[in-house]
Amino acid sequence: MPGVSRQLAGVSVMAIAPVANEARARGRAGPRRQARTQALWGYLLIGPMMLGFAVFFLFALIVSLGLSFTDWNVLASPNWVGLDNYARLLSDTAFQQALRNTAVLSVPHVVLRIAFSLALAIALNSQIRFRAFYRTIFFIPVLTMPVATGTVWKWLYDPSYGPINYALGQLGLPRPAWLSNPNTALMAVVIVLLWSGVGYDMIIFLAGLQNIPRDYYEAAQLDGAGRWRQFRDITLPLLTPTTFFLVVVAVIHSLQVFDLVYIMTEVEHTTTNQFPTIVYYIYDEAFRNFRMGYATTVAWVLLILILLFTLLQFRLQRRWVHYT
Amino acid sequence: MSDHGRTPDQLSRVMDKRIDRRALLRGGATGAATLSAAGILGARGAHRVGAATAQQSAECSGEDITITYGFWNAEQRPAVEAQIEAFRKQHPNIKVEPQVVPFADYFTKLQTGIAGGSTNDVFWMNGPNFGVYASQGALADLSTITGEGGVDPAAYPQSLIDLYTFEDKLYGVPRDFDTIGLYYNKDLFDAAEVEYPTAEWTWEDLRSAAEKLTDTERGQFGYGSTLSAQQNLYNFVYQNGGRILNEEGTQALLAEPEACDAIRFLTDLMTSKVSPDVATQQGNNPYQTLFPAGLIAMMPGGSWHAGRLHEANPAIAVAPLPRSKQQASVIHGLANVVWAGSPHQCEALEFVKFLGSQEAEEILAETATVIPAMNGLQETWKAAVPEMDLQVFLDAVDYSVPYPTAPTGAEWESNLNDVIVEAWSGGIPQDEVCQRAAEAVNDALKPQ
Repeated sequence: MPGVSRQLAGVSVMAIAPVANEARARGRAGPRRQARTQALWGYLLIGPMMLGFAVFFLFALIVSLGLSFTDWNVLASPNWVGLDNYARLLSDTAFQQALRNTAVLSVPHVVLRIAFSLALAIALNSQIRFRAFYRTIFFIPVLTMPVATGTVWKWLYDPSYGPINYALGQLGLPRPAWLSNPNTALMAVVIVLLWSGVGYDMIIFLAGLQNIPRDYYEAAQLDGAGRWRQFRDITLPLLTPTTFFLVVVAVIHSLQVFDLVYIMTEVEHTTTNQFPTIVYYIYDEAFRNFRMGYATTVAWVLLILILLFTLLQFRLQRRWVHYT
Repeated sequence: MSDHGRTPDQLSRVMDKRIDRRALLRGGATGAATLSAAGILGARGAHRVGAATAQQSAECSGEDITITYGFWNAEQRPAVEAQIEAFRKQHPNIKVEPQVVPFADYFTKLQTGIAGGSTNDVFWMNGPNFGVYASQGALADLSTITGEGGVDPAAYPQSLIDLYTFEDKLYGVPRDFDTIGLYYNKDLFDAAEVEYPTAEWTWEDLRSAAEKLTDTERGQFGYGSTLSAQQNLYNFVYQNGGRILNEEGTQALLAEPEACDAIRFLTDLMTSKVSPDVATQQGNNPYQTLFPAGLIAMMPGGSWHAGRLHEANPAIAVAPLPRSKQQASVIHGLANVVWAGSPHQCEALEFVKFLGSQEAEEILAETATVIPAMNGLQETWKAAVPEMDLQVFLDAVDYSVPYPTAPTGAEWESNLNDVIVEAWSGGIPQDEVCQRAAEAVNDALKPQ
């Protein structure tokens, strides 16, 4: 997960910088030189990462902000158009549709993802047989490339020849046109997102569960607490930091869905998509309709949305997240 | 290339180019700076350098060079490789690497590659996209390789030369052309005791045969109303005397009654279930699966499908499309173009010149890959699949209509498809479809 590695890198920067400062503050010649050497090594070690970050992220970020005020079509030089692109968003129905699709996808995705992965983690944290085998099975989809996942699921969902509808037909149930109707397409995409994402969250929850000291449960048992009571008053509160992290990641993940809808809901012979998301819309505008300037505008709006949602969640965490 | 047989005039042209090159070299440091700047700035800078290099095209360095050739149809790879091999015999020092990118991503990748200053040296171009690329200076002017000993524009149908000419300059060498016919599965017709399609068929004949050939039990459809507008919708509009766009490509004419009736006719076939619905077509390319597998009885299709369809199912035959007020078929053709920013301008031009030669075009014909664009080679193509009446596609040239294009690029088509997909899924009331289609297309035709 690139997000995780980025965070880890962030941690290392923060961890090294205070050490360097502290050493410098001590003031004596010997330790100071030592501190300087230490700092130098620190910067040297984070150098390659920071260079990559600066070139491929920071630079691109700044340039894209500039481009969002232009009419750049990739082939010709950009012209400054001021706030035109931003004004256009307000009347762009395709953008609003993509935004709506993304929103209606996010809610069930985040809620179900947390619920299923927590349930799985609890089940696989208990002493059942073949526990390692089950953990592996549930984690494998995380390792599968989204394009491969999308291609296989598209075939499973095929309305006339796919196994899912064949099974439904055998049971005498209606056979929906899964990927062609926006409502069922929403369901279909959420199912695949869950299938491919729950395994990762399950592992994080498992780590969270194993961090809860056993004596809490023993003490609770002595006090006569039942299993439900233990779950509600020990497990859930102590898992809130993990849950918080996973919710933040799941929300970001939901807002960035692209590959699955690109593979699954696009119609053969056309560039029509039955369930365009916001990132799909950025792709469509930038690379198919030659409106790179406008596409960067949409990308910036998305960035701001993600930022707002994340800030909001950090605000709200005070109300429900318990750190021990 | 040797200087044998050159006229004095040609020789003096070559001399001019040599002087140009010297002049360029005199630029020295400035030149180098321009070059590196071009690398960073991408298409625009690169274009200027490309144009300068094109001037010296007659003389290639003779060094070992590898150029890349981009195209989108993997089915045509064997023929392309045969062409490359033949080219290699003439130019042992130039290696050509074929690079297939599926059509869905082809222009996306091309556009990004050009912006990033690195794309294929030679690549396929189609009519709908040509205008955008030529007008932005992404394609090399081919005037240096036209004329005696090079590409002869008179050897091609004028309509194809016109299609790839921008502001009086030729930017593409026509490669092939295609028209549309009605493929049908003889076995399914025999089984249902329906007479084969003929050149006299009307829309009504098509509809009633399609109804008879539809067998819901078996999952069999009478007609495959494909979402590929080039092979389906556009032809019906023209047959009915309608038009898709106005002459200049600045306005949609889909709301006119002639065009609208055609849209309704096909929408009707979809909603009455004689054609596989959008949902079924969404994940299954009917030309690759449903039709060869004998699940569709009739399918409108381009001439480029002929060889492969015959191979996949020998019961497939072809007839002209049905008529309404008149016969009509869309005609379109691809061209080979050179990227203006290619660092191997000379070799790339040399390769395109070869692709425009009789030898290269014959390879396309003999392998029944596509109808070669060069006049006089169409018979060779026809003879490659004698079991099918390929004359149908050649006859269609007489009543063909050029593929509709607009100066703003291909976005209008994608807007039109959005509406058609929704209408054929039953999402738009019948009487609003045409108006909605016209509005959606007009949205993309406005100058931006």
